[in-house]
Amino acid sequence: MNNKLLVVFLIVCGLFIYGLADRDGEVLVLTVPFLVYLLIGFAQAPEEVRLAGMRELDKPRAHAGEIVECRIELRNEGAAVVNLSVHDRQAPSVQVVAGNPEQRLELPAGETTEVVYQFRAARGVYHWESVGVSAGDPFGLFEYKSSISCPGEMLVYPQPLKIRSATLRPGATLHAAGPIPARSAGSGIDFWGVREYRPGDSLRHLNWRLAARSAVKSRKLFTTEYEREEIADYGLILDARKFSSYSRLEEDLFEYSVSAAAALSESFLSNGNRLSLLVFGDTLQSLFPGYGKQQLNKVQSCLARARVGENFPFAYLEYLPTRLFPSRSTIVVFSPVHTQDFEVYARLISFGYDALLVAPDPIDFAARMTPDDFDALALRAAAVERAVLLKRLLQLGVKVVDWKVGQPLDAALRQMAMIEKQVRKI
Amino acid sequence: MKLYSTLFVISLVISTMCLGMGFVLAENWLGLPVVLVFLACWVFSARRGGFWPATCALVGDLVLAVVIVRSEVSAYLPIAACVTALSAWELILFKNSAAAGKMLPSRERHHLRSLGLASLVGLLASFITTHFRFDLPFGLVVLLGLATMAILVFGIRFLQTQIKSG
Repeated sequence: MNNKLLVVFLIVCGLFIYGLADRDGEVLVLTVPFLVYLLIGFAQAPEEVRLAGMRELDKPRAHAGEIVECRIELRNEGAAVVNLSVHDRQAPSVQVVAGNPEQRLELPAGETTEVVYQFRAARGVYHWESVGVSAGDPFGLFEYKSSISCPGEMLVYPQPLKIRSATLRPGATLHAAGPIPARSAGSGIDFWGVREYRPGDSLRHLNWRLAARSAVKSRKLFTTEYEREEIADYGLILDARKFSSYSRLEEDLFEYSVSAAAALSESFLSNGNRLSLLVFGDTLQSLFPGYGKQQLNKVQSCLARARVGENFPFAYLEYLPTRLFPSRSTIVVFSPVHTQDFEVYARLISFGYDALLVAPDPIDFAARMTPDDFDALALRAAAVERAVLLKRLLQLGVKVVDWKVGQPLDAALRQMAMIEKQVRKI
Repeated sequence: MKLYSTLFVISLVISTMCLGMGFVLAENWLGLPVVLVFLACWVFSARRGGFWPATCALVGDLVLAVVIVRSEVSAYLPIAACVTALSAWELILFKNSAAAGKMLPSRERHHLRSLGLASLVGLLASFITTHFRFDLPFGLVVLLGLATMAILVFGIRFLQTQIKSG
């Protein structure tokens, strides 16, 4: 229903009333063209539109920013429709890049047509239930509207940041071959030490130089030992509490945390390590430890569904269910860090976990995005307060990556690794 | 869309000429500048688009047609003016909606055919109707008037419900 029909109706009634009131037949005759116009529109209006629809997405799983093609097939199971409009509603975070989800078509009876468009979407879960269709007479006076069931679902994974193989040295490793030096002798490529030859040792590992030097004195043989390389247990904790999100100019600090979690999970799992995940905020999403590509898909799905929110029972990190994380695993927390979280990190360290905090800097983010909104002195005070908190965590034994999100995560991780190496030397 | 612009101009010219000639025949010289005012309204609606400028121009032409009819001039000129004004209104609104999105050539052809049919049948029906004369009793006129008002009131309510639910 629209304004056009209302206007014509009012004109007809107005002329009719005036003509009757004035008893002027010629004024009444002026209504005839409008009545004919209404009648022809009404005669050509469709009574019913019977369409069957099917939606096909070329990628049911995609990364944020990746282009996805959507194909909607419509089949006319009723009479021919000349003025058919198809409208596929999109979520606000979907950006159509090619084609048009709103199209005007002509669909003869029994025929099939396609509406094709390409789009890119932000991280999240997307559901489509139906497609809106409308058909009307040529004048647009009488319209038939309907929704055709056309379900579809898509999961958009976070766009992982590019990092080199994460340069993290966990405190403990699992007894399975992997890429992490295990601080014990075994099969590997890095030199570990030398010991006396024992029968059964591989002749390829004999240290001939040392043997030549000792030949004069003791005629002993020596075997070179290499450092064993093993896998490790990692646990990721993504802080999705309300304070982790800070939005400015269509960017959100929480999205950086999610991308960092995605990047590190991909790095850890591709090196054969075992990984578990906990996302807490509005709801609790957890993944028990697992390996390989299957675990990576589960992690990506969890991260795609992560939403910021406040859930009172999980408002404090100290109620964290740590049974998800095997003993002596390395826990990587993605959080802008809150003063109330200090106790929880102490609890983690006391349990024997190796803790690493990847802390996106909200102060730097806010100052960069909207520098005019904040007083310089206030920013400095907030930065000092944050620096003091991070230093306290460092003293506790937590490894801290103070990440200014404007710089690559890779650089921040390498900086942390360098500092750790220097500390170890001391 | 060039065809639409051409047909719109033709309809507008015919409508304006019919109204102008009607006022000339009625020796009502005050009506001529008013006709030009509404012509300017049509031109404005064609340039700027939008539903209400075109509708105001249509209603204006209709009022002028009623004035000419009341001046005891032949009804053919105001009838022709009404039909061409209605065509111009429909053409300009269709052109504006087509400009918002791609329009299929088949839909344009269907629309023009329907509009042509409506204009022609409307014109002929109106001309034929002018030859009929009915003497209606006063009571019947009152009854018809009341019925029309009732249809108007209930019709508007029905349309409002439709707009809200649509």
